[in-house]
Amino acid sequence: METLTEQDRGNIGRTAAAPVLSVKNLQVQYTAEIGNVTAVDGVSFDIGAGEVFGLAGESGCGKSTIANAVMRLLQTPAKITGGSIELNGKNLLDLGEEELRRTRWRDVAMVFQSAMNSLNPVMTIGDQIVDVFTTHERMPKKAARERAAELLKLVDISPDRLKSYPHQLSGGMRQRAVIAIALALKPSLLIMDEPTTALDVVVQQDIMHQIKELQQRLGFSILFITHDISLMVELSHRMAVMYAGKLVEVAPSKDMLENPLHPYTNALMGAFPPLTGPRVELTGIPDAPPNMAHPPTGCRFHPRCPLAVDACRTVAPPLLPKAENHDAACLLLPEYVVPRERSRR
Amino acid sequence: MSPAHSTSSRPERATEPLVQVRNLSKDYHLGSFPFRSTVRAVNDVSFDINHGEIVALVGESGSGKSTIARILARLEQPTGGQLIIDGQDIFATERRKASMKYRSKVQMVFQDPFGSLNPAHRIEHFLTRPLQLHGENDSPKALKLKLRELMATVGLGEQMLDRYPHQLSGGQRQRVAIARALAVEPEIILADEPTSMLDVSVRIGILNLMRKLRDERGVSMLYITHDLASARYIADTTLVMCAGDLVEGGESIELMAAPHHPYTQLLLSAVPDARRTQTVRPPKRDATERNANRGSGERVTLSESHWALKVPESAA
Ligand SMILES: Nc1ncnc2c1ncn2[C@@H]1O[C@H](COP(=O)(O)OP(=O)(O)OP(=O)(O)O)[C@@H](O)[C@H]1O
Ligand SMILES: Nc1ncnc2c1ncn2[C@@H]1O[C@H](COP(=O)(O)OP(=O)(O)OP(=O)(O)O)[C@@H](O)[C@H]1O
Ligand code: SF4
Ligand SMILES: [Mg+2]
Ligand SMILES: [Mg+2]
Repeated sequence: METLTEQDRGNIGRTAAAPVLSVKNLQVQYTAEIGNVTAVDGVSFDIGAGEVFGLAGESGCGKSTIANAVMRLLQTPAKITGGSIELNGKNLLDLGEEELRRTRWRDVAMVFQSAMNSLNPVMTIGDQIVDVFTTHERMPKKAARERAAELLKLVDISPDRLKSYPHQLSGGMRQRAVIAIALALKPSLLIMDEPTTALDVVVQQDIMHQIKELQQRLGFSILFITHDISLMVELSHRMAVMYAGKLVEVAPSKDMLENPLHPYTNALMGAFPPLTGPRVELTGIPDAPPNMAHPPTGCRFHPRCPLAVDACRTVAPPLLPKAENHDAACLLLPEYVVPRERSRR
Repeated sequence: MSPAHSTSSRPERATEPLVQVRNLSKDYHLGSFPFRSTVRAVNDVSFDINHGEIVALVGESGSGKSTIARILARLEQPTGGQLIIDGQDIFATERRKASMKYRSKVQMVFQDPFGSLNPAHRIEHFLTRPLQLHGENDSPKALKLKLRELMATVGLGEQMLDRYPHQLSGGQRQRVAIARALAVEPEIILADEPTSMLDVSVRIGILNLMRKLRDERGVSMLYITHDLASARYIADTTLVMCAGDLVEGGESIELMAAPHHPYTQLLLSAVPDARRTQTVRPPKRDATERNANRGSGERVTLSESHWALKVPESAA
């Protein structure tokens, strides 16, 4: 049974200490009249304390669904149909509404993909930040105002902007304000779903530096979702590549860049236009992404895989170790056997 | 066939540009009396877009790129300046509202695909309406066919037509927004970060699609992006903005090989590169703090197809 194997072997976060986040065999379904969509199908990963973990993959593969599941913000018609999500040892799926409210934002916070729109349009930026402090920390208004100004400065927005409404800020400034709000309560896990897609590269780099600095100083962990693999490799310690609801490869980010094993990851790595040299013609990955209501049988990548063999159409490859600290889900890759002397240590 | 695109496919210099932007400015006011302050979002910006040309507008966040696009789409009035399209001085002749003709000529794809699709309608609705407006005499069957083609063009399966916007992922919504703009077969598409939420494989597909539209139908494009590599990949000309100013412009490959203005140099150095070892730490900045010291607005000509704004003494 494929899922069992995945569950057994799924614990790929080989961090020594207890993980901050441990997702096991997570399954999420959207029920719709157009057919049920299993957007996340048997996904397992761990994030260690102080670790930056990246999640990359094609549009529609289920990244935001995982993020929302961890935040317990999924709404009907989405439903977690299997697995567990443990944050600091607590299974989030067992928590009641009241406990959840206390966990959310304080223990785990999120910068949404639609961050630019997640601000309240009729409240000034300042009031929105102050609100976070007064409701969650019962901080007096004046102190909260000071903290709000500090937070804005942290993301390079001048404190004058406290009195601005969201529509008066550029897309990038709004996104930075949202990042500031997410960091306000110093969560132990910060989820960032495409946090900088709306930012110019200079600001992006600056914010990423700031986040990394803060992350190192305060020691929180990050689940970082982006399709910008260069950025992900620069920022994350380990990363997973997802395809059609499943993780297909998990490895330290540098290894992923230098030695991608899965054919899909390989294709991803080769799809960037260069910044120097002659103009080239790129093709990306041929054919459309799979219809998640009826995902392909066997290996879900087989209709688009240049290496596919007959077996790929019927056998679903489990995520298994294929090199040291490097797991992949592909039938063609031989399994990695841990060297004897090391396994005994 | 030909490399990404050839310079020869660009129209002759002699023909008049499709779009001429002249000395465009836009001020916004913040706060209320007596704490009013003014943000100069766009400052004295001039550029051309030729027939069948793809122009990339890159630059700092908050520098006025979307504002320019919104003014070109006639969603906002400029504080000053001229917009000439096909020889017509738009703000002088259609002062208050864009005509239907203007709207079918100029289409915009918005930066934010979450806000731009009304959640109450199915995807089919967003595409059928413009298709109907454009091809009034189409039979329902012809319409269906066009609809299907349109979806295929942007790489979405037909099954998506029955869905509501909230049932799509971010990238899927962005493609719906592109399809909607394409539906009326415009002469120019103003694309405000049309691929910012797309993963590389789909992004390349959309970029190739934009280039194909240009090559086959001669559609011009203003492509706003933060992704310099993609600007280099599809755009004939790249324009760089910083704090409301157009600071540099030129043939894309040339400009990125030899950036002249300090801001362009900074921008290029900050592109994420997993293989780079040292990191560049940009200076602290905020657009509002830099309204002062704009320099003379004088341009330095670097080559026939490359210019940059003269850097003011004190900032250099
Ligand atoms: N309410 C819904 N009903 C049915 N299907 C849905 C719904 N919401 C999302 N989906 C589907 O679930 C899949 C996963 O969506 P998700 O938003 O997690 O993707 P993603 O990986 O974050 O993509 P992107 O990079 O484009 O944001 C998609 O194929 C999407 O079409
Ligand atoms: N309605 C408004 N009222 C006040 N200020 C505004 C308004 N719209 C935009 N601005 C300001 O104008 C400037 C330019 O904004 P614009 O959205 O054009 O930037 P942008 O270059 O598109 O940035 P980004 O890359 O972040 O999307 C910003 O400083 C912004 O705060
Ligand atoms: S299992 Fe087969 S189809 Fe899947 S990635 Fe490997 S070779 Fe390709
Ligand atoms: Mg998403
Ligand atoms: Mg913008």
